[in-house]
Parts: sequence; C-alpha cells; structure tokens
Amino acid sequence: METDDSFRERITRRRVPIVALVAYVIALGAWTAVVGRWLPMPGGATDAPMQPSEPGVPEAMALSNGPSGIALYLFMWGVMMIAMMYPSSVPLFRLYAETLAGTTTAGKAARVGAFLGTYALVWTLTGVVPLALNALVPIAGLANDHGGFLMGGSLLLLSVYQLSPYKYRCLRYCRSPLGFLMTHHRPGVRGAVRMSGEFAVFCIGCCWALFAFMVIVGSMNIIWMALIAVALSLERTVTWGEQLARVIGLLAGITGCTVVALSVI
Amino acid sequence: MPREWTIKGDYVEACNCDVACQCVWLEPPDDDVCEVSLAWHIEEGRYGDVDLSGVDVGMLISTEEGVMFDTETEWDVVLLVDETADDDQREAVEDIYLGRAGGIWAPVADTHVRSADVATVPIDYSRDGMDFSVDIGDVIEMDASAAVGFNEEVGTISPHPLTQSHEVQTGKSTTAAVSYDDRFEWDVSGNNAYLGDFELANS
Repeated sequence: METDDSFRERITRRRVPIVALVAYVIALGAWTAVVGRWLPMPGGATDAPMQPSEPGVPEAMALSNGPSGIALYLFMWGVMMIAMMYPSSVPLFRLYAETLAGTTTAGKAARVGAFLGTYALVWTLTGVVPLALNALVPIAGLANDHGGFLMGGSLLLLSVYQLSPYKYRCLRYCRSPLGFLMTHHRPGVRGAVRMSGEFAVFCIGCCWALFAFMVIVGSMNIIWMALIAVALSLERTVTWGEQLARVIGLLAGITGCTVVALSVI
Repeated sequence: MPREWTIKGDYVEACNCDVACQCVWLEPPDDDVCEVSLAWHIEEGRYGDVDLSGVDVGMLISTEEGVMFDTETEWDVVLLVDETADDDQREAVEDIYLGRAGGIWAPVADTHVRSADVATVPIDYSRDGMDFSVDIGDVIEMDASAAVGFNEEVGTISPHPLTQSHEVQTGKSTTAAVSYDDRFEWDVSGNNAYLGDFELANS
C-alpha cells in the first residue's frame, strides 16, 4: 500500500540526526572562529599592547569605539555563546525537531531556525551586562590594582550561586529537555521563538555565575572558555551533573576564600 | 508525504496520585510509579486528508519507578482506538498517538516508550459540564469530576503538556479502574484526575 511505504520511508529517515549535526557544525564553526581569532576585535587595532584575553580588555576596547565597537563586542560574545552553549543543548534541539515530523521541510526549517536563532540571540544580548558593568567600573583597571579581591570575590559569588536552590531550579529544566518540552511546547514559528526564549532564560539562570567569573578572568580567554564550556555541559548532561555543580560551588568557595586571604596578607 | 494534523475536543485522565498529581512538576509520583488511563473525544480533527471528528481514543500508561518525564524512565503503553473508526482513522490515530507523526507524542515515543500495544475497542465517552464518564470495553472504567476549591472555583493546572493552552482543570476520579492483558491492572478510584478541553498539533 502506498501510505505504508511512504510511512516506512519516514521512519528510516527520522534516524538521520540532521538537526543535531547542524547544531554541532555551527558550534564547531563558532569554536574555530574564536580559536583562530577570525573575529574582528571591537577596537579594530590588533597591534595594541593589550591582549584581548586579558580581563576587561575586550569590554574596554568595545566601549572606547562607540556603537560599532559595542556591536562587534556583542557579535563576538554571541559567537562565543554559540560555541559554548549549543553542544549541550542538542538533546532539546533534537527532541523539538521530532515534534515537527509531518510538517513540510520548509516549515520545519523555519521553526528549527527560529528556535536556534532565538536561543543564540537571547544569549548574545546577555553580553550587554559585562559591557554595562565595565562602563561603570573598568574591569581592567580593577584587575591591575585589586586583582586578588576581584578574582576572589567573583569566585565567592560563583560559589554562593552554585550552592543556591535557584541554580538547581534552572538546572532541572536544562537537564530534562523532555520535561521542558512537555511543559513548554507551543506550535508554530512564534511558538518556537517563545519556547526557545524561555529555555534560554532557564539556561542563563543556570550558567550566569560561571560567565560572570569568565568575564573577570577575561571573556576572550580560550582556556577558561573551554573549561567552563566543559563544566556546564557536564552539569547539564551526565547523571552526576548536580553533584558536579555542588563540587564546582565548593571548589570556587575554597579557592575564593584562599585568594581573598592571600591578597589581604 | 508530509501530513499536518490538528485535533481538539474533550479530555480526561485519572491516575493513582492524590489530588493533584505531581508529574507536571517533574516530581516523583505517589508510590513512585505512574499508572494512568487517558481518554480523548476528538470533536474536530484531521490528519492530512483524514477527518478525525467524532473519534474517541483511550490510552494506558504504566511506568517504571521514578519521575515520569526523567529520560531514564520507561513506559509501557496501550493505545485504545474506537471500534467505530474506519481504517484510515485508525491508522491516523496510531500515527499521532504513537509518535510517528510529530507533535508532543514524537519525543515521548523516542524517549520513553518501551512497549506499545494497540487494541480496537468500543468506547463510550460522555461529558456533562465538568463531569466525565468513559467506558472503554472491559479495559477502562473512568468517572471523574472537577475538584472545586475556594470560592466554589474549579482549580487550574498549568503547565500541562497535553493541550496547546497548557491549562487543564484539576479533578478527582470516583471510578478509575483498568484491566488489560494482566500487565495493566489497577484501581486508583478516588485519586487525581486532570480534565477539560484539549488541542494538539504537530506544526
């Protein structure tokens, strides 16, 4: 029967994880752009004595170059967010794509595109926070004069948040993509935008303290970027993710206390 | 061939939990297992060219221990299709509810369903305001009504996954007995029910 054949075809085709592959390739592209320094620096000048991986430097360069500097900083921040957040969000992207079986290819692409795009956009906009902070208190100057306190303080903030109930309320949604989808699923492109926005907010709730720490150690520091990306991916995917979040909180607390104590002495 | 679908109508479920069942908050159920019967009366619906209006559908879900929507929790499912449905309608209902045609059932099937039976049975579904009564062959006997709280108001639960608005009403069963194939046997009368209008789609 005709319907039976087309049905079987659909089942076999469903096994090709196109959405997962696309998300991983985009994330890989973003990592390549960051590691290979393909991104235009917000300040434009690459021969400046300041290293963009130093604390506060990208933010200061962005702010000293007006609207174009800020736009470039947010673009750079957005690419970094895609690199760090997409890999661990693949399970949700994939499950969402499955809800679209039966929709036309164009309809499916529009909805998945809206989902991926909104997620990246919301995360890109969080880049306004380090810029605003830096406009109030230049991080680079603080890092030079009171590096110990700054680093220790951000570690203590990270520790408190990692061990707080808010962290686990958000992490629960990030760790259970199906749970999120079951309780937030909405149809259509607008539904995709709304759902993805809500998911991004939970992810920000889950990870903001890690990123605050990253800004303090240097928001373009590739080593820290990679470490934090691995930590947040494990928190969200492995069965011992919640315990890991607590261990990170404890380690950050101990290190933070030590760093502050050393800079007092 | 892509087929979009949409169905809406009345819905009722009854499970072993106290009022109200905690699965929608991603918490473990009472007794740590979920035994639930679900029933839909599709008032208006279509799957591609197939008209689903007037079709009744039942489902049994029995889970392993643990939180129902945790990725590791496996479900055994029985889909019960109205014997008055024609072949096209029966296939459509199977495609939709067994997760082969997108919508919320697709990730459920992919993530949870360990076994799925399909049976064709007589379904007698009736609704009078917020009182629901469903008899599905010898398999399900379910009577449930809205749970009324302060100000004589019916409680609302949100978000609930099985309707587009994410809102269903809180309810309590007077009868919720199930018997199918020795594997699905329970009487959870006097416990949680969620009920109201539903609307689901795959696009």
